Amino acid sequence: MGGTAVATTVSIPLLPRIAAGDERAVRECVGRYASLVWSLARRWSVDALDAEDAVQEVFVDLWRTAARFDATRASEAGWVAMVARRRLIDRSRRRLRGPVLEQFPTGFDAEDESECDRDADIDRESRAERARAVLRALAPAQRRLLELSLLEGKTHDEIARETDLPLGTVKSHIRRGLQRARALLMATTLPIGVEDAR
Amino acid sequence: MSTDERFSSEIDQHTSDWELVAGELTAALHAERVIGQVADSTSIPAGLVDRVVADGEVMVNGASMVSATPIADIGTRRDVGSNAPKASARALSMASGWLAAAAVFVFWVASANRTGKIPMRADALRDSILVSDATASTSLWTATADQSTRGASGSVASGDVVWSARAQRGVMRFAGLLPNDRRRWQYQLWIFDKRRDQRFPVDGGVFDIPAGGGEVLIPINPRIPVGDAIMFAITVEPAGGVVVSTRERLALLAKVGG
Repeated sequence: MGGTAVATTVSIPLLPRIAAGDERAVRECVGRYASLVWSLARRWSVDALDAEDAVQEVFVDLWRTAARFDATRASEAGWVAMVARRRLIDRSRRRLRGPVLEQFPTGFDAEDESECDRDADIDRESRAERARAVLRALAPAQRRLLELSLLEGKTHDEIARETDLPLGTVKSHIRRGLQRARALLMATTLPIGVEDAR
Repeated sequence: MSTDERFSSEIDQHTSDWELVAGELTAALHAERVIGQVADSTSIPAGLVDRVVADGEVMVNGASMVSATPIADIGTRRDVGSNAPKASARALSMASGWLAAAAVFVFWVASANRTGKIPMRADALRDSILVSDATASTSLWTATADQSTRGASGSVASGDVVWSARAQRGVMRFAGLLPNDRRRWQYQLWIFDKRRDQRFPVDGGVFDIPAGGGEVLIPINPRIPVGDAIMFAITVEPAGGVVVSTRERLALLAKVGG
């Protein structure tokens, strides 16, 4: 796993420059995130042409919402992935065919509100590193479920069939993984690296 | 509110922690996956990168132009089902037609306020644009020598395109354009924007001309903002359209103000 190599990457956010009207930052931004957006679009689109449309829409969304990016709440890559997921969800709904990304019930994580420090001012590098640390902290099986859900775009039903796990187990593992990730990302002092063996 | 505007609004108002967490994990998973890959067989097409960059540079540089006032939410970019053959004879006179169009537009506005999304027929959209936007342009198509523009009797394809920069919506009207076999080939609209690199006109999507003759109205609903449309072009492309056209088969052109 290339966690070390990834962890050493420090990227100055480009979205604030784009929000300020610096068109030179556009090509840099596309160069930096095209692979991420394309990868997600390919997995959640019916064909390559549909994926190309999706990529264009995602980047238009990024330009439009650049000013809303808040480095104290998310890493830039995380924000880009979130915007991409939203657009792909929207496209899936409009298309009414093909894989549909799993939506999480509103307030599903409300029970963890008290654990989170909403005012935490986590710098972008530490937030991105924390996301990677979260992956390392998860049990391999749980990480695999999150990977299938988040990166592969598979529904919980599809994951259950692929892994031969009961649907309820898949849902609970993914929910707990996200809750744990949220707690680690939102807090500044929670220890990370503890194996989650559930 | 258009889909895009609603999307931006949702991003602004309802970005929840779990979505951010999912985004962070997705980005982290992707970063780890690409590390060590010798060759990326699924690299984003170079042409697509250029288009995305070109679109982005225009949007970022002219952010003030992205202020479309929605007139109607009609069809989708590649929704050939939105083709709307126009009635051969209008029952209404021009005057009453415009009054009807105004009424349709008022109804749409009122309805949109209630539901947020009301589809409008292409002919009604065309009329409503002409009634509600004094700055809207009407440009006549000029046929090229492409075979798609010639009828069996030697007639030449004609029509016009109505475009509202304010609404970022328009309607194309065609007569005499060769019906296509959508399984094999389709027509594709390109919008040349004065503020944009002319190598990368805005993709207006593909559409079909059904058999049977008569006028055909096609709504224009570009997903990329158009700042200053100077020309519309119709090309003949493989089914599904292309990202970058070779322009080998150019069927029609309509210069704004030409």
